[in-house]
Amino acid sequence: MTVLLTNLPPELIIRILKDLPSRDIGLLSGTCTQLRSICRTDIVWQKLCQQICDIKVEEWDTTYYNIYTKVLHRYGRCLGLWRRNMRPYGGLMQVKPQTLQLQQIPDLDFLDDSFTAQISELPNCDFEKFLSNISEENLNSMAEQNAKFHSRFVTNDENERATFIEQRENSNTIRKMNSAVKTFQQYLINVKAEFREIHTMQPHELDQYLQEFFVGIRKEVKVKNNNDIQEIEREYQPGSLDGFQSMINKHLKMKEYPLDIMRDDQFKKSRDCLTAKKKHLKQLGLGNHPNAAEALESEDEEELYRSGGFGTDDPDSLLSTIWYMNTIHFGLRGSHEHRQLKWGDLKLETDRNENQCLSYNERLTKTRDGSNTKNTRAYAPKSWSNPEDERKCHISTYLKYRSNRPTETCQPDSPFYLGVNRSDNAKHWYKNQPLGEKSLKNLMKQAVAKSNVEKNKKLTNHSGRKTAITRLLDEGVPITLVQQHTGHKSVQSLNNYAKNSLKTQKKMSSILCRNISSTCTSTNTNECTVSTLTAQPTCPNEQQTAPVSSCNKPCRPYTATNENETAVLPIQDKTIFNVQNNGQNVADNMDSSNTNTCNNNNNFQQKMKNSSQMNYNQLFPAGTIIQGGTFNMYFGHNPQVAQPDKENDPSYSKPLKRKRKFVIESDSDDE
Amino acid sequence: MYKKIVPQIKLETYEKEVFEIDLDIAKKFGKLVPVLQELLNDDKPLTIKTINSGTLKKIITWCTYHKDDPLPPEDDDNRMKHSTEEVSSWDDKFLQEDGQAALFDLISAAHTLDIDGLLDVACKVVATMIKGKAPEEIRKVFNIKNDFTQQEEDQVRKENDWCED
Repeated sequence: MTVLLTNLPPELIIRILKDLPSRDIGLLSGTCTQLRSICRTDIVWQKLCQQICDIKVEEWDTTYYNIYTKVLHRYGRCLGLWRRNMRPYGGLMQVKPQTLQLQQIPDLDFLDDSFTAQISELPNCDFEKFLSNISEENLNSMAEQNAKFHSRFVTNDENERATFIEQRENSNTIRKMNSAVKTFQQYLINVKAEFREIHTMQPHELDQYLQEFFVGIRKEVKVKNNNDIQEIEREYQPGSLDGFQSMINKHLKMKEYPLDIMRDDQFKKSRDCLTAKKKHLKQLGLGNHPNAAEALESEDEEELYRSGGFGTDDPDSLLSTIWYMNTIHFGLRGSHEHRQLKWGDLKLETDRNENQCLSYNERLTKTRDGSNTKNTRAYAPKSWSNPEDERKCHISTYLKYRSNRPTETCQPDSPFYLGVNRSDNAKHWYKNQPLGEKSLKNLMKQAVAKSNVEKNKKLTNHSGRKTAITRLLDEGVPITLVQQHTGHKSVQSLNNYAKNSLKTQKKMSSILCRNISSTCTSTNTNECTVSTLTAQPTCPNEQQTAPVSSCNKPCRPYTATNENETAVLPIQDKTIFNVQNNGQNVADNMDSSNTNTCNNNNNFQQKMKNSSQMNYNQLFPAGTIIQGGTFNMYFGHNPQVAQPDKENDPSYSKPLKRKRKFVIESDSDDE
Repeated sequence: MYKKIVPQIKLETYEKEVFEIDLDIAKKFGKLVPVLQELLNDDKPLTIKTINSGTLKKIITWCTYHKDDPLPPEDDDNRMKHSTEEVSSWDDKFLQEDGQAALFDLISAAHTLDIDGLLDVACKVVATMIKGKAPEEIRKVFNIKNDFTQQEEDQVRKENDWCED
C-alpha cells in the first residue's frame, strides 16, 4: 500500500499547513472531505490571524476561521496607524481590529485599494508616545507639514544607510583590505596560535605582531619544489608591504580601533621594522616597479593600426579603437571610468567654426569622487576630428561605432561599451548588453595580440593613459594643463608618467654619449658650446620631464636632431648674437640652462652691456669652462642696445619679462 | 590501529534489523534523549516497530549531514523566523529522491522520534508541493480521491470565495 498524504495523522497535516499561505489552505480544503475537516480546524486559522494582528476570538463571538476569511484576509493590511493625505480630513487615524464588527463589514468598503493608495504609512516610531504628544489643534497642521515634507524627504533606516555607504566605497580597495587583513589573521592563527580579531587586541600586542609580520612575510609561491625558487623571488615588492600596513590600518579604522598604526607612538617599533624591511628589499634590487605599464610609442600605434589591432573594420578592433581614443582624448583611467561611461556622456557638438567635436561629461573618478563638491573638472574635455589621418580620427571612429550599435542602445542611459554580437545572423555588430568587465580590461592586450608589437612590452589598459600623458609632455604642453586633462591630484604623480618615454630616454642617452666628443671638438675648433635655449629660464627641478616651452614669442622649442646642423633659431633681426650650435641637441637638455653658465657672471653681463656686437668667441674664448650662474638671453630685442621710441614705434614690443620660476598651480585638486 | 571509540546505541526496526547509531547523532532524536544513558548501558537494542529500515537509514544520513548545524534558537520570536527559512537544495533533493511514500514515512518517523529539524524541512517540502495548485491538481499530485457529493462541492466552492480573488 502506498502511503498517501491523507494517511498521515491530522496533527502532522496541520504542521504541514503551517508552512502554507492561507489561499493554498483554502484550496486544499476543496480536495476531499478529510482534508476539508482538517483545514477547517480553528487552530490553523488562529495562527494565520495572529500573524496579522493580536486578536482574541472571545471578543468577537465567532471562529478564527470566520475572522480570517471574512475580515483579516481582505482588510488586514489596512490595520495600523494611517495619515490621510486628503486636506479636509488631514490627520491621524488608527485602524484597530476591535473597532470592526462583523455586522458592519459592508461599510468597510471605503478601505479599498484607492484609499490605501491615498494614505501613506507613518515611519516606524513609538505610536503611544507619539499620540500622547499630539494635541487636537496642531494635528491638522502637523499632517499638512508631514505631507509637505514627505514629498521632499525619502525615509531611510540604519541598514539602508550602511549599505548606501558601503556601496560607494571603492570595491577594489575593500577587496585589497580584506585580503591583507585575511593574510595577517591567518599568519596570527597559524604561526602565533592567536585567535582574537586584530581590532580586539591591546596596542602593544598588536605592535609586537605587526613587527614580526612585516619582517617575516614572504610571498605565497605555487611551485612544488621550493628549492627551485630564488629567495628574492619570494619577497614582496616594498610597495606591497606599504599596502599591507595601510590596509590593516584602514580595517582597524572601520572597526573603530582608537589608535592609528601609521601615526601613533605605540606602533613606532612596527613602523621601524617596516622601514628597515623596505630598505633591505631595495638593497636586494626590488622596488623598481617591474610591472608598471609602458606607454605606446608612435611606431607601436602605427603598427597597431596597420595590423588591425586598431581600426574600424571589425567589431573587436573598433571597440579597442574607440576605447583608446576616449582614453587619450579625455584622459580617462584604464577601465573603471570606461565601465561607468554611458552613451549620453559623450556628446557630438558643432563649434563656432562648424567643426564637429566630441565633448565628455565626467562621472565618478578616482580623484574626483564627489566627496568634495568643489573638486570638479576645470572644463569638459573635447576632441576634434583629425582630417590628416582618417583612421586616427576620433569623430569618424565614434560615428562608425554609433552606426553599428543597435538603435535601442543609443539612449543617454545605455552603457557606452557593448558586448560584441557573435551570433551568425546578427543584425548589428554589438548586442544590447554591456561589455564585460574582463573584456573591457583586456581591450589593449586584445589589440596588441593581433599585431607585431614587441611582446615583452608591458602594454595594458593603463598604457593608453600613459601614452596620452607622455605624448602631451613630449610636445611641450605645460604640465598644469596636462594635469587638468588627466585629473591627477598632484604634479608629482605626473612626473612618474613622463619619465617613461622611450624616445626621450634615447635622446638623452645620445646626448650623454656625444657630450664627451663635443667637448673635444670645441676646444679644437675654437667653438663655443654654449647651450642655446628657449627664451625663458625653466624649472630646475624638472629633471625627468621633457622641456616645457613657455615662450610667448612666436618661437617653437628648438629641436635639432641632425649632427652638425646649424641651429636656426627663430631670432629676429635685432638679436644680439647668433649662436652657432655645433651639432648638439642641447635644447632638450634643459638642466644645462642652470649648470652651463659663465664662470664670471657679472663679468659676462658687463660685457654684454658694453658691446652690442659681441662675438661669442670673445665672450667665451676657447676653453672657457662654464660652471654655474644665470644668464638672460634676449631674442628679437635687446633693451640695452636699441632704445627706440616706445610710444611711436608700432613695431616696438615690450621686452620679454623674465618669468618667475615655474609655478605649479593646482586649481581644484587636493591641497 | 588506534580507533576512536564512539559510544553507540542500538535500535531495531520493523524488519528486525539492528542499527548502531553514534551517540551525537542519537542526541538529535528528541524522544530518546531522556533514555540515552540507559540505552548506552544496555546491550539489548530498542525496538521501534513503526519505523522501517529504509527510513531509519535516511534519518541517519540526514542527521549526519546536519550534525554541525547550529541549534534552533529557543525563543518563540526567532523560531517563527527560523521556520520561514528556505529549504536548502541538498535537503530538497534528499527528501524527494525516493518519492512521496518515503517522504511521508520519513515525516511520521521524524514525528515519532521527535526530530524537529527534519520534521520542519520535510513539512516545508510537502507544503511546496501543495503551494499554488488548484484542488484538481492537488488531488492528482497526492493521489487523493474526490469524495464530495455535487452538493458538498458547490458549498465548498462558495466557502472558498474569499481566496479566489
